[in-house]
Amino acid sequence: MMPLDLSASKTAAEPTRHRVDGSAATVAADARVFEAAYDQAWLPVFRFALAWTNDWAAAEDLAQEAFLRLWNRRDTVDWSEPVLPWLLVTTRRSATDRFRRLRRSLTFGVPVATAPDSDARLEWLDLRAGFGRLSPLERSALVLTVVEDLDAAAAGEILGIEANAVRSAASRGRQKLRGER
Amino acid sequence: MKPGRDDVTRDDALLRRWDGVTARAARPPSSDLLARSRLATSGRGQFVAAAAALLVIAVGTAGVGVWISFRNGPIAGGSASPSSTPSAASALPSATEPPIASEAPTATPNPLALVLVALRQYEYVVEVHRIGAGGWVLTSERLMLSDGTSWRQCLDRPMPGPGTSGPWTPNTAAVVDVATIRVFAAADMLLSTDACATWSDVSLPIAPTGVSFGTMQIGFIAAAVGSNNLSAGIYRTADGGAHWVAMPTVKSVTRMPLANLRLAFADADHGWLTDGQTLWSTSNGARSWNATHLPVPISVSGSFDSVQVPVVGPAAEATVVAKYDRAPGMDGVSGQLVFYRTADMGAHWTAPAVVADPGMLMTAVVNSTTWVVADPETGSSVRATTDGGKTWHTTAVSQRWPFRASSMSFADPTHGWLIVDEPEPPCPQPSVGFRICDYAFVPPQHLVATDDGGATWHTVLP
Repeated sequence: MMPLDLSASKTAAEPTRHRVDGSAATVAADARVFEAAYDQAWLPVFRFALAWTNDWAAAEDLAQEAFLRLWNRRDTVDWSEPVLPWLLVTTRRSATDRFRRLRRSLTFGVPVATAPDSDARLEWLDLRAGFGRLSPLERSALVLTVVEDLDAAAAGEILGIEANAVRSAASRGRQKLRGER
Repeated sequence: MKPGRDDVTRDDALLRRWDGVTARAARPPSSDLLARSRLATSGRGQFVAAAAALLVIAVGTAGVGVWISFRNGPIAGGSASPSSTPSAASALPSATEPPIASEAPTATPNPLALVLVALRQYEYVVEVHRIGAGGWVLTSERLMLSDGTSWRQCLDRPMPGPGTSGPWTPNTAAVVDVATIRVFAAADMLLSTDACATWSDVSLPIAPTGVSFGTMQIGFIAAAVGSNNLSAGIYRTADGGAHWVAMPTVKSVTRMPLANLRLAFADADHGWLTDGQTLWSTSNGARSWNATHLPVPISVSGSFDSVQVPVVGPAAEATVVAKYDRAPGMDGVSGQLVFYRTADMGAHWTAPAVVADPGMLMTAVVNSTTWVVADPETGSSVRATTDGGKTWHTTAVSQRWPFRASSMSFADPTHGWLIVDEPEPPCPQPSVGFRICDYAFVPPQHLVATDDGGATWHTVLP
C-alpha cells in the first residue's frame, strides 16, 4: 500500500467554490466534488476509525459521520485544499463523542444495531482480540505510522499529540502485539 | 505498509494482516449517505421551529423595541443591556451551521461584545455554573458568560473546517474568577486576566482532565499517566499557571486504568482527587495523598458504585456525593446517593443525608448545606435542602423542561440551570445496503433555567 497522502487534494474536477446558489446544476456539482473526495478518502478514514475503536460497525458509522459533516459544510469548504487531515481529526473527535453517547444509549437500553457481515469483516474478527489488547491510541499510532506509513509528526497532528508520544504509543502497541506485555 | 522484511515478527505479521483485511472493507454508496444527510437535518429543524415559536411569544412579552435593540446593539465594554430579558434571549433561533474557521484557532484577543449566543450544531456543553442570576457555560468551543440579563462570548475556539491545518481540541475545563479566567484545552491553558479582553497561551506538561485553583496563584492539574494509565500525574503552579512543577504521582488503588481525574482544592494545601472510584485527599499541597474512607451509613444497602468530585466551600467545608447500588460500574441503576460532609478539611466526615436514586438522579451541590436533586427522566419535581439534608423541600414541576436533562447547576435553591439533550435520531437497518446512522449529529443541547426552584423552566440558550 502506498503511504497515505495527507496533502492530496480532491481530484481536480471542480474549481474552488465558496458559495452555492442552490440551483440544480450547483447541487449536481456539489455531489460530484463530494463523491470524488469520498472515493479517495473513505478507506483511510474507515481504517483510522477501526484502529481507534477496534469495532467494525462503529468504524463504519464514524466514517459516515465524518463524511456527513463534510457534506453539511460543503458550501464553505475550500475544495482545493486537502480534506483528509480534517476528516481524520474529525473522526478522532467524533469517536470520543460517540463512545460518550454510546455509553449513555446503552444505559437506557437503546439497541445498538450491527452492520451486515462481509468477508473482510469476518476475517478481521480473528484479529480483533489481538488488537483489543492495545489502547485506542496505541492502535491508532501503529496503524497510522506502520500501516499508513505516516511519519510520527503527521500522525501526531491527527491524534493531537506530540511526535514522541506517537512513537511511544506505537512502540507500546508493538510490544503488546508481540505478547511481551 | 512498507514492503517486506525477512525477519517478520509477530507484530509485523499481525499488522500486515490487518492491512490486507481492512483494505477490502466495502464502502457504502455515497448516494445512501447523502440521502441520509437530508433526513438527519430534519430533527434539528423541529427545535428551531419551536424556538421560533417561542420567539414570537417572547417578543410579544418583551416588546419589539427591546428585541431590536438587543439584536442590533453590540455594546462595547461588555455591560449588559438592562432592557433585555432572559426570555427574549432564550427564544433566538439557532444558527444551523457552524462557521468554518479560516485558520486554526488560536488564543486571539476577543473584544467583549454583547452577543446573542446559541449553541452551534456540533458544539456540546462541558460545564455549567449558575451564579446568582447569571453564570457561565463552557462548551467544547466557547466560554460564555451571563449576568442574568444578557450573554457575552468570552472565548471562541471554533472547530476548524476542512482544508485548515492544525489539530483542534475541545475545551475541557475552565476556572472563572471575576477578571481572571483560565480555559484548558488539551495541553494548553488559555489565560485572560482582563475579563476576556486578551488571552495568552501557556503550554502545560500534561493534558489535564482535572483542574483546580486553591488560591488565585496556586493551582493544580491532573491527568492519567504512566503505563496503562495506572497513575495520576499531578502538577502544581504557584504563579497562576505560568510554570508547573511535577508532584508525586498517585497510583490507582483498584489497579484499573485511571480516567477522568478531577481535582478540588479548598486552599493551597487541602484538596481532593478522584477518578470516580477512589477519593484521595492531600493536606500538604499534593506532596502526598491518602485514600479517603467515607463512613457509609448503615441504611445503605448496595455496594459502592462511584463518587463525585467534592465541592469545597469556605471555612474548611466540603461536600461529596457517592452512589451505592447493586450493579457497581453500570450507569442508570437504581440505588442510593449519600451526601458526605466535612467541616475540617476532610479530617472527619459525616453522612447527613441518604437519597433514593431511581437511576440517574442529578445533584447540584451549592455549598455544604444546600443541595438540589432532580430526576432527569420524570422531571416531576425538584427537591432541595438548605440545612444539610435534615429537611427537604419538594417543588412540583408545573412547566417541564424540554427533552432529557443531563446535568444541572444551582446558584441557590431557587435559581438553577439545566442542560437538556435532544434525543438520538433513529438508526434503522435498511433491507439492502449499509445502515447509515445519524451519528454525524451530536444531539443538540440547550440550556434551560428556572428562577422559582424548578416549578417552571425556560430556554436560555437555544
